[in-house]
Amino acid sequence: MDVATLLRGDAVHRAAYIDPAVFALEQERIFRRAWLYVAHESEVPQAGDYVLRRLGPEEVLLVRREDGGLSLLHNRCAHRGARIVTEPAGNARQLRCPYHAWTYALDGRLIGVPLPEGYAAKPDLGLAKVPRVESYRGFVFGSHASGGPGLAEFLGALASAFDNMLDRAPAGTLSRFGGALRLEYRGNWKMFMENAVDLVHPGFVHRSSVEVARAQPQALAADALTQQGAQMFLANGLRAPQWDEVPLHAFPGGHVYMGGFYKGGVIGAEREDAVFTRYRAQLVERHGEEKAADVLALDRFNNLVWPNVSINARFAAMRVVQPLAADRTVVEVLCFRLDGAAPEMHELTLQFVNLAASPASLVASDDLEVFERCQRGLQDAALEWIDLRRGALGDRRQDDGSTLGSGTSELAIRNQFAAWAQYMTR
Amino acid sequence: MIALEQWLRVQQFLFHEARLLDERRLQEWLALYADDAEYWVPYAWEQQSPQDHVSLFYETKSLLSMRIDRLERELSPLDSPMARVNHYLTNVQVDAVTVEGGAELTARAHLLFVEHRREEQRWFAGRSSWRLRPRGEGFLIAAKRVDLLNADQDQGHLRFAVPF
Repeated sequence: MDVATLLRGDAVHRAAYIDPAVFALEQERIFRRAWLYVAHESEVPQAGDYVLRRLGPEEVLLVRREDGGLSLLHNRCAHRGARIVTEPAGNARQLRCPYHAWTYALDGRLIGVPLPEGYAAKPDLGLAKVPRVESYRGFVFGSHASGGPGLAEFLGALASAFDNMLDRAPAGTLSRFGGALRLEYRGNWKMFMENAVDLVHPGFVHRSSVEVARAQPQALAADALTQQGAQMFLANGLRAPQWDEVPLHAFPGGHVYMGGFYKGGVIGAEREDAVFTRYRAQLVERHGEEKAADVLALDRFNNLVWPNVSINARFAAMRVVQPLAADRTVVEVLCFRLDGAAPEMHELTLQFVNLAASPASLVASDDLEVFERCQRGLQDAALEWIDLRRGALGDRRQDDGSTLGSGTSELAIRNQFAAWAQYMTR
Repeated sequence: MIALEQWLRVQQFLFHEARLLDERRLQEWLALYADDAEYWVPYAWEQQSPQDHVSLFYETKSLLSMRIDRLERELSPLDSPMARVNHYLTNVQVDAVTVEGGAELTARAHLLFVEHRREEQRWFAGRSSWRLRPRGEGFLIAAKRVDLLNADQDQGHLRFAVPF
């Protein structure tokens, strides 16, 4: 397949979203090359702790070894191919296959097979290792490619999103908590990444929740949960000129973030209650007045690490997009605890993801619905190309190699396809 | 042991709640809830608290009011055309409990929830439980919890407009 023919100026061919052959190529050229998020180190604190995760097309085990290091292993017995582990998380002294009891050390080495006399020598096999695993300040990523840029280089300017989440923790560390929400939709994975930085859709797709929040102004004075929901719903009701004031910062590699998002209390007003005041004081103690103010003022929403991570540092939440097929995607929504902060701060994070990202969310459910409508609509062959020109005239190249655009521009989507083309054609 | 008549009254009340949802009489449904009511559908099996783990639904009455208002405005692309739903309740059990400020009842039932949306019919099984406050001849719902059997599994193509 000549992938280059799928992009034409500022338009992309519909095959990029619906063709299983394109999906298979994406798995090989993007998801077997790029750094993909695996887990947070706090999920495997003790020797023998493991979590079962998806890393692109493969199922992998992140294991804490006796020496404190991390192994990232394929969850496939080197003998007959059975999955070794089926529990999402656990602790084990060694990894044993349930089929013929081939047994592996925590680093994947084969340490035992039954009936060894049946072999001339102990089989020279072990659990396959993912070639590269690296942690960025506790966030563990893996890459199926043995070569390529290191993790820090890959993250580039978006490393600051992780830094900011860490800076928001009074103790300077984070812990994963609260399980994970999983949203499945019958649409292409790229739609989620594009929609997350598309600021024209909220006024239309989320009209139902915007109008309700406007019709029930008393919700802003109700219980804390309802207040948070009403603020979130109202935030989607900005008018185009207001959205335009949200700058899009697009970086090489497809990464992007939206700045200026919480200006005027959009999405979540700066809190002034006793819990937040105490939390703020903790941050001042850690960082000093000036830096604490900067940390809290970093007002970016949806920091996207292309191809499949979205970070919301302010609410200590993260989403990971897992492509399953050209027309099937699961989005995992993860919460982090700001170590040292009061439990009420963590409830805010839980409430944020429940309200914004649960399968029952008044917001996310409408997004997923339109992805599915696009996936169905793109089967139609009458129009081959999807136009991506909105706002292109306003793209402004910056000295640092990034591109700046206004909120209603399709800059982020063009930028994602530029990265897509780089991966897919090399 | 609770009196037979009381058991029948609670059962009638729960069937009435289910019917209001099935018939989309959502304002009437909401009126069954106390102002301080909690509506909770956990996202983990045997989840202990909505405060330390994500939930599918964790809503107060004011939030439920927004949810219902949204459905009634018919602006949500998700709910167009409207889903048709049936709530089936069986194995109803009722217990009397004493709480601060008076007597309450707890009720439990098995739930089968069937939803038809566009060309697709989906089935969910779970266990519902209620805290009920006597109010005149009837009751007010102080809390409702629905534990889906597959709460901790991949929910597949899951999206809810109408609550359980």
